[in-house]
Amino acid sequence: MSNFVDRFKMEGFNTDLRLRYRINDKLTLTSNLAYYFDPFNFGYVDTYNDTYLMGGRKTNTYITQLSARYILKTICLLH
Amino acid sequence: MKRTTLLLLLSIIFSNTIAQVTSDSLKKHSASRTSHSVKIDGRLDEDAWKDIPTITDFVMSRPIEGGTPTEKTEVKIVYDNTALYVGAMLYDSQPDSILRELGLRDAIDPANPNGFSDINADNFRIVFDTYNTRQDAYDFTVYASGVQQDSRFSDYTFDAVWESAVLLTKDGWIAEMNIPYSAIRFPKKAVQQWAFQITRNIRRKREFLQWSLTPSTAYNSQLYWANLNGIENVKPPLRLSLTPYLSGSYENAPVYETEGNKTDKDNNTYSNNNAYSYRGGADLKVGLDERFTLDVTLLPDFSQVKSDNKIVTLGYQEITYDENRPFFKEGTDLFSKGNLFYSRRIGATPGGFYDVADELGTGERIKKNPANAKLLNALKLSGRMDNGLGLGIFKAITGNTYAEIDGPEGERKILTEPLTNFNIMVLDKQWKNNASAYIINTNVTREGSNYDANVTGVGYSIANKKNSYATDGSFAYTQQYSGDNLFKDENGHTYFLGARKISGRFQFGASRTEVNNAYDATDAGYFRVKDRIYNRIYLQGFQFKPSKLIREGNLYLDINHSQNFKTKDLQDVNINASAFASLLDYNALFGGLGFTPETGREYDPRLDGRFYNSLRYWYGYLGVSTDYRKNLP
Repeated sequence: MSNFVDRFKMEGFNTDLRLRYRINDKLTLTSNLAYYFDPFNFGYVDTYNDTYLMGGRKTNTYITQLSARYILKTICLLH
Repeated sequence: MKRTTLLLLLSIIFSNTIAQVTSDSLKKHSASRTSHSVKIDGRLDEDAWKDIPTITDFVMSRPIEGGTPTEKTEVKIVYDNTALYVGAMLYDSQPDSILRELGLRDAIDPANPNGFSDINADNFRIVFDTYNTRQDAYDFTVYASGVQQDSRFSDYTFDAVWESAVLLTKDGWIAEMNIPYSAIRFPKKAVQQWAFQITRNIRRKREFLQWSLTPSTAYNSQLYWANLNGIENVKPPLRLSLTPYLSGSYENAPVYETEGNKTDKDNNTYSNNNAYSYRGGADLKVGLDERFTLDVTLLPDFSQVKSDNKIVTLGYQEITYDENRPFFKEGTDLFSKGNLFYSRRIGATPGGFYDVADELGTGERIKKNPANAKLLNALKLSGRMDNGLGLGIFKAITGNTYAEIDGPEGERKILTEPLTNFNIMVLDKQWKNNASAYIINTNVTREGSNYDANVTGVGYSIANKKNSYATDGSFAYTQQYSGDNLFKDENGHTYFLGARKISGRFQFGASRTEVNNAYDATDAGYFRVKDRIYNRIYLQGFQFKPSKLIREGNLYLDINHSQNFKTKDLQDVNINASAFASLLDYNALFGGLGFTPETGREYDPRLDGRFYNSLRYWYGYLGVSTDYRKNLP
């Protein structure tokens, strides 16, 4: 059983918190707070003597976003 | 014994004796011809709306299926020689509380253009199945804020020219529509027999009303739609549009040369080089009759088409981009059969684009290297006969594409993509209720010694009469030629076979897909992985009616197994489960988990003998969504 569990090590996690506030029928504010943790972000590093070198890195990503949308007409908006 | 069991099982699945929706049990309405004019202003005060039959007996679909609506709805339908008019009085006991958020046309959220529309407003919707096949329909929706939304079930890009107006009154709101016959196609008959549905969404109550109640457990809701009679002696109009264009450009740029007549601040001499280009072309769309449409584009100009958001990948699978060119987006549903046509192949980056730099001699430089093959012209003929047989013919030609090289010995050209001819032919037959079959052929021929390609695909889908069980399958065969010889030793094939229970609170299914290692549909189409066998089973359960805790919810479980086609080595096993529940107070909970107990080697097709060992993994997620009707969700 322990062998079985060892095979499932956590790779990473993320959280998202989205809030949207409709100020009126035309104007909407949206915020997004997010955190992404990736302990082994796998990818290309370099090319050495025609050999591709791949590697892993630990990444912490924080996102703080605030956006507004204003609908002028059904064919036109500001975002 | 086994044979007897199998026959018994098949006779249960495909039995005709199981209760089914009959034509007699459907609602009916008769549209009224009018000789009065109708002004689309949101007021139903014209004579045309007086003394005609009114549709009133709506039924609640959600939150309580079969319940009595909390608000009254009245709809009238009239027509004349040019259009159909729909007037709806949507009563509301609290007119000042009607949600009326504004959105873009088709109600698509610009932050999520591929998602479903979800603006916070009441809406009224009428849907016509003009050929009464119960498989396709034209959908016209208007929101309480005036936003229009239209689509065709087989074509979500459908945008018609039609009029609508809404008006907020002390009794509720009014929606008025003018749907001209030029916006829809219908059979050339003296007496029309359409199927139709009307729905209303009262957003603040999350109340969804239908005129013809379609059970949540039904797979094909169109079988429950009402019949629309009374439309007589109307003629499909001539459909013709011609869009010519002319464009020009002028460029003035410095060219550094020893005999230049100007000097820059570093004392290098240069001359100003003037370059100009102009082009013209046209798009033509003509309705050959009420069923078939011919689209032609000659030297098209796609300069106004939005550009792609480029994606960088380290994986070996090709990335696909959305089609944004109108000619390839509109009315292409027939050509998408079997997923063998990826329209971005036409006018794609030339095959030799990236090799030009390697072919440069000493002192040479690339003067011009077009990133896309030039589309000379394209033609599309598509339509469906009255007996349900659809026919599609597509042809496109891209011209020779050259990179221009400038060097000490003068200019020269390198061919990066030869003249290429793309041909597609499709036959698609739809039978009433829920059966269809298709055959499609794509052919790509290139001028000169370059190879040509041919792909043929067939497929079917069939359900029993009760629409409770279905099976579908497809097969495709790929060939590549060089001259008269087969380019490859082995031709490619793929097939898919699936069987499903498609209605009811408990549904399940199983499928198998095989793709051999010679399969290659990339000349006109796209595929993700070859050399693979996939097996899949899934189970899902639904709760449609409110209980003590939840309003509605579902559970889902699937198990996927894949192996290498050639070696039969295991590739992957993964198990996924998810759940969603909407609570009585309209807050929602969702979550899921999955894991991969076994993995094998990915056979990366770029290098023989090299593999990618995939990792075992597990995941889990949990989410909460608050009441979406409120200002702050």
